[in-house]
Amino acid sequence: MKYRIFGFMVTLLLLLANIASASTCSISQYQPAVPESLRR
Amino acid sequence: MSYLPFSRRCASYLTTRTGLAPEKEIILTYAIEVLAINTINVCLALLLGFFLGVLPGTAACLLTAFFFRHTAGGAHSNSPWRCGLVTIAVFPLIALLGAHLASSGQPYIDGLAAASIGTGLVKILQSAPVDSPSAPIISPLRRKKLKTGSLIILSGIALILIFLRQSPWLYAQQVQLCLALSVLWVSLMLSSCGRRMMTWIDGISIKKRGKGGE
Repeated sequence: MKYRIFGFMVTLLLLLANIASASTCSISQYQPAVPESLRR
Repeated sequence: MSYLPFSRRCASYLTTRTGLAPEKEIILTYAIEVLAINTINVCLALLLGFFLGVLPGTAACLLTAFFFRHTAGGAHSNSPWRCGLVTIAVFPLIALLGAHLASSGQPYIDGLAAASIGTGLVKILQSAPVDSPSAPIISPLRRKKLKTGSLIILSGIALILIFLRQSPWLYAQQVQLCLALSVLWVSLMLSSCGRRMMTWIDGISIKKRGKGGE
């Protein structure tokens, strides 16, 4: 059960990373470094 | 790439527990950092807006900045904590200014709204999208799409401003001003003045004093 919850969290976070990397910047004034594999 | 220790620890824990490929750990770290920083900044800005009595205006400013900066980009701070302070302070202050100016009469509000849309349009055509070294825009096609996206978002904001002008909602004038002032703020962040301002904020030295006051 725990493994499934963690798996779900990881899937959501990977999706969020893809969405965030498609954006020029987020709402705040700070931009964390986008990983090389997500740069486009 | 430098991330906060909190994000690195969480990502490492999740990678170990789910048996994820090690190269995915950095993507998880990035996602956790984006989620944590933005959630904290938005919640604290809304809380400050609530205490100042301008919650609808603060929410309107945050939404405008989110959609506009999503495509247009803008200046960034190199420190998450300084950026947090700027985000938490600026949007409730814009909302407070909007609430203060709401009593100045419809012709002034219309003038400010028109000026903000005009400024936003000029800055988009001149500079958008403004990227940062942390998140460079590599593809020219993506750059073109983001510029078009910025123009669509600005058109949407202009339509909302027109709709609010005719709305009988109690906060309509206040929100209208908040939208206009937020567009001006994001336009400033697209300009070289905005970049210089963030560089200046990054350059403010915060040094701890020694016991002898040295």
